[in-house]
Amino acid sequence: MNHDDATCREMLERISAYLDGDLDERSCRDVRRHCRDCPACATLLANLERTVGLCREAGAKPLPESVREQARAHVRDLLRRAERRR
Amino acid sequence: VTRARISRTVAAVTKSPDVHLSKERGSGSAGYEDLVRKAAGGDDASMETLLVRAQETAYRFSLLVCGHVEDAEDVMQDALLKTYRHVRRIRKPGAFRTWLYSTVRNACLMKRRRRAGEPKQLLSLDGTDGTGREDPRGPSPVDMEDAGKTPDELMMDAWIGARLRRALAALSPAHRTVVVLREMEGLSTREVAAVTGISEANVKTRLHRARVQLKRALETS
Repeated sequence: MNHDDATCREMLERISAYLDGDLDERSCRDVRRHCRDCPACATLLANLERTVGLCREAGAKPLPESVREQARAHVRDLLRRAERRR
Repeated sequence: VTRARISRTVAAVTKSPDVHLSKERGSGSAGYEDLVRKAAGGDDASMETLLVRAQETAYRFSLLVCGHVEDAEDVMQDALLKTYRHVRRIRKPGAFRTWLYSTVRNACLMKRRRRAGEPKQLLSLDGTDGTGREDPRGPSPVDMEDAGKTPDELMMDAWIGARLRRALAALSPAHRTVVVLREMEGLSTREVAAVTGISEANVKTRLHRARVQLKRALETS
């Protein structure tokens, strides 16, 4: 990407806001128009979208069953002790 | 080939209107709020579910940000006790989620400070697993592939994949924290600001930089 290009620099600054849906309709149109004419920014946008998607996919993965069972055992133990104190 | 790939990318980016990435994911703070309200009201099943969920949150955050299984287990237990005490006298169930992440983040910071003076990795010097025992069959293919990885890394690789684990590790703790909270845990910008103690504008700036760095790290890994 030619970062000397003011439009590309501006695009880079707005790209996360675009991905998060934080831009108004007019700004969104500007971003899309710029990406139609600038393959480098279009590639950057697509790659960032993939990066964020990968994180969100990983974040949705459940923890290993051994950890979840450990958590359940801790709770059972805590509540049993609390019950005895009552 | 490159031109064709770029054309496809451009088409993919420009054809879709403003779908973007969903702002809020998972059950969010509303899911926690309902659970907290019921647990505080004496519903045992809700309390049990809440305590399990809080521990899982603590474990995930700690492992993703700090990368140590042992610390994650300690932070998980700490979150259990603190949540149990906090929920029984809670005044604002809606603020529970940010309270939990703030508590967990503080516990992780304490762990990190304690580790600051320790060596980066505890390595065996004699080719054993540290107990003095050696496998008489020699290293398995998995052992060969995973040679040099710590147990913490092996655990994380099995969970989120080696590529993402390495890319996250390449970020600074501050950037990693924002990525984990926003992208992986699904907190809103406002919640991330409340947990980290920085302004929403700074969260956005930090998140953008972290995304770009993460993208680069993924490309080079």
